[in-house]
Amino acid sequence: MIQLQSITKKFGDYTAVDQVNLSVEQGEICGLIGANGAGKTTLIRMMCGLLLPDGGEGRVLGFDIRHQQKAIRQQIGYMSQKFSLYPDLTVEENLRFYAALYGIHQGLEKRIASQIEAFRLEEVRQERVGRLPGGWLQRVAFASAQLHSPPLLFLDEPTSGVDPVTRRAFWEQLYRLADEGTTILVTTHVMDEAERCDHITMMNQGEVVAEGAVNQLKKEFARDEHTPLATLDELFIQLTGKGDHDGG
Amino acid sequence: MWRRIQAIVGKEFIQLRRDRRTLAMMVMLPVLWLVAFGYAVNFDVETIRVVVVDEAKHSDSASFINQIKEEEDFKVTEKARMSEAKRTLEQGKRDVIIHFPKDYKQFPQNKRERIQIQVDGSRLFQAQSALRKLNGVLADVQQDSMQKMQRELQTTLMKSVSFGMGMDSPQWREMMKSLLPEKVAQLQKGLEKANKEQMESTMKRMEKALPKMDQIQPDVDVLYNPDLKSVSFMIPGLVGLVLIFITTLMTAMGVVREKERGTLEQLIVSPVSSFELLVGKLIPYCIIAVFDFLLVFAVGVWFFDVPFRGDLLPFLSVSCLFLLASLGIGLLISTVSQNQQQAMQLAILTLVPQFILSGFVFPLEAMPWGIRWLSYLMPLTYFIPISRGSFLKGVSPLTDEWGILALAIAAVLFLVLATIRFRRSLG
Amino acid sequence: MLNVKGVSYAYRGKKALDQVSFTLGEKKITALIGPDGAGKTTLLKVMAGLLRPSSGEVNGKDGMSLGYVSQFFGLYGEMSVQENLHFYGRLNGLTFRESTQRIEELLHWTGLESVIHREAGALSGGMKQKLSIAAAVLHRPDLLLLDEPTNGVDPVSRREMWRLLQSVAEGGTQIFAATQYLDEAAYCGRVILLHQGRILVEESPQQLLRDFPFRLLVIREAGHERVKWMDRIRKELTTGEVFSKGRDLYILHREGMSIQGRIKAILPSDKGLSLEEVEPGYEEVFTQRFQDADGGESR
Repeated sequence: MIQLQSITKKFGDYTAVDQVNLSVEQGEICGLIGANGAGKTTLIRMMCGLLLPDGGEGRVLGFDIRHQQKAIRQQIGYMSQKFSLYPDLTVEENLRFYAALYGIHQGLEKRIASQIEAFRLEEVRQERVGRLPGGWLQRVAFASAQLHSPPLLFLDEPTSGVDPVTRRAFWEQLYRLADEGTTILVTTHVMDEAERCDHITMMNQGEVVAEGAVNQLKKEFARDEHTPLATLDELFIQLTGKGDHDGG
Repeated sequence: MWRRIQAIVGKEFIQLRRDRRTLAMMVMLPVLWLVAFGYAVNFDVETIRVVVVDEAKHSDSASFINQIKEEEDFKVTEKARMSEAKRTLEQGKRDVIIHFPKDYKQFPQNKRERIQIQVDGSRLFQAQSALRKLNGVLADVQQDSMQKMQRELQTTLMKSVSFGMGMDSPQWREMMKSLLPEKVAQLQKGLEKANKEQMESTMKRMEKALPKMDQIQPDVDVLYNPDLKSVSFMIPGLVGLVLIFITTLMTAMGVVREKERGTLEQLIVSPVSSFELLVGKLIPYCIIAVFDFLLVFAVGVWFFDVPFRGDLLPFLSVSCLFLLASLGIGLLISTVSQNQQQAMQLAILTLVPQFILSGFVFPLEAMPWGIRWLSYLMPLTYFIPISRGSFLKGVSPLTDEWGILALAIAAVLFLVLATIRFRRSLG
Repeated sequence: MLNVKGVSYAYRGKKALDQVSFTLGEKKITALIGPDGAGKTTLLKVMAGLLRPSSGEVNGKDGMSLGYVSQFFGLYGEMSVQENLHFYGRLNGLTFRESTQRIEELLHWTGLESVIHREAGALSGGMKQKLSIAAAVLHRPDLLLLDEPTNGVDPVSRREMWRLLQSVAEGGTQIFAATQYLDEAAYCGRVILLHQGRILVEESPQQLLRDFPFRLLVIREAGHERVKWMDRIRKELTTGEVFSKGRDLYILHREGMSIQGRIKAILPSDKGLSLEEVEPGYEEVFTQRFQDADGGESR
């Protein structure tokens, strides 16, 4: 679904993304992990066709990221950390707006009804989004991001800040989608979210420092063979060394 | 207490030093305005470009035109037809059309015989000064022609007097021949004397009846701003405007910025009291406002030659009162706003009406009552007359008790309101 | 000793805090754990005196010096590290000499020595947090309140942050820190679990772990059939919790119930799926508590 070969992006002298290779299979939940400024957002923006790479090749859903950005944007779903919802519109109006944006006309009512049911939004259907607490926002944002049943979903820190119960329920939704064949790319700096992915790519200062299945990595970087790392925190600490002491 | 106030003042200055854009605004804004109001917004019009259409084509119109051409301030061109002249006016190449119609007479009996003048009213100031100058010239021309007429009248009168006596007639000559030469001379002398006396009395009567031409024009004497320069009118107002803009904007931003960034919480949690915080924040803005005030003052006096005839000290103290009022307004805005954008909007909302309604440009007396009472709610309305009085008239600001009282009330009112709001917003 | 008594706080008709009571006692570090919107920030602000509670009171604050680190970077970005610290030192009544000496100590201790002249706004997230803490402890406060000091900070800086806080506590300062990371309970002597404005539990984390009446089973590498198995196991077990985390499937069940046999019967033998028992962690403990508080409504 995603193949990137030595993608590079520079802003002036600063290399935001340095020779990154990435491959994501269909139905996989892939985590793009790294601290703020590691290059995750730049990479995502290139995959969504919002930014052109300076070097390297890439295909997303079979489309070239240099020349077919429009086709890519039509097919993907994107949920940003800030939940791009309109606070002065109701839940339903937001959903209808996004449906119109992606040109859903046929079966619109059915589609919206099924989303409202699937995300249990019935009771807040007519509420203005701006008045909803955080947990609801995340559900509404997710409902609108995959209203058009995209085969590929980009999620930016989808569950940072929500309570653990909601987080667990949300991820179950993701697993269901993934097991049915939707490909999901999650970017996050929260290790608790990273742990929930099938596969992770860890970035530091624009470069990929580790890549593989979560369980595999925990074994690989273990101090002794028989006790794999308990958390990805330890992996992160090992790989990025002192963290950001120099403030770079 | 002083240590904490000092800490806040010091911090404000460090921030100002780092925030080049704001600092630049605070120094550049007064300078920019000075340039704008001192040079660009010059309501004085130097030359008036006149186009003349002469359809009468006789000696009267020609001499009139010659007279206009001699005027220094007029730049005259001639056009054969009205339509051409109008086009130059439309294109903005000329300011005034002077049209002598076919039937033009020097002393017109009806409308068709009169000079027609057309002015481009879309350029208000040009039009006004063109009209003013033209009226002057017309008066001159009329005076000249009246004088000419008077002279002509006199000579004809002289002629007619001697003619009436028939001294040149053949009968008279016959009669003279029959008389003795001495007698003739005597009689002639006596007659001439009588004639002269009669003529003089006629002349005197005539002089009384005819207007004295040099008395027709009013004797205008401009007091206080003898050159009627816009700069002299603007700078004293500008002093007030700069003060209110800088202080209102800066204080409005000052507190709300800390609110927005979350630094205000840190300050509240620390042992600093709201009074110390307030004083610490206001002192730097006061200093900057005073600096700007002096800047505008100095540039106005030394660079634009605006006179300052009043006493500096009383004027400065009244200005401080005004400064406190505008600090209060700024602070009030800051406490009711949630973010810098809101504060900016509110500040503009209070500043623009002051700019327009305070009498800074447009005279208060020309405003309808409904709007004028709005003007009286603004501190700037009271400060501008005081400032103009001090600069141009040399009137001590202390003579305007009502103005000072209004400024004092505004200062106390806004500062107290702001402090109450400020304390409440701190929880 | 700070005593929060029956504190409620309502904002626009919504209750952010509901009858919150607790005392900060001899335990030096207390974590306030709860998700976004639980009321953590409101509680901290009430304790710091930034908000007046709608009812209830905070006692014992008289004569107590306070340090507060808000959720957002509350220092001046355009001022240098040193200037910021000096400003807060002076604000808290230190003389120039005292403040200089203390700053030197703190810079050394936080590892910010190399950046003293850098503008605070240009620091990385982790360093900003350290600077905020340094500014808040300049005057050696009796109580340090921190609102999510590790939010958005990478794991390395998170660990350093907690070490820093532990040494602050050793210096005699009470620490009360809000966090949404459940695992940070491990650094604290006591945790207060806040949920929808109410305290769910107030206990030492180790005790909570000991008292947890559930066992945790894991099926490794369930992979893309995880949802399928999850649904089947849920049907089989009417109690307990089944959830997936990555490619693994977890089953949380009450102690003393033997379910391994029943689950093994569901799983196919040819896929090589194994069932192992693991130690539940803070995440399981707290999630269970939150779920109980929701009244199981969430599932």
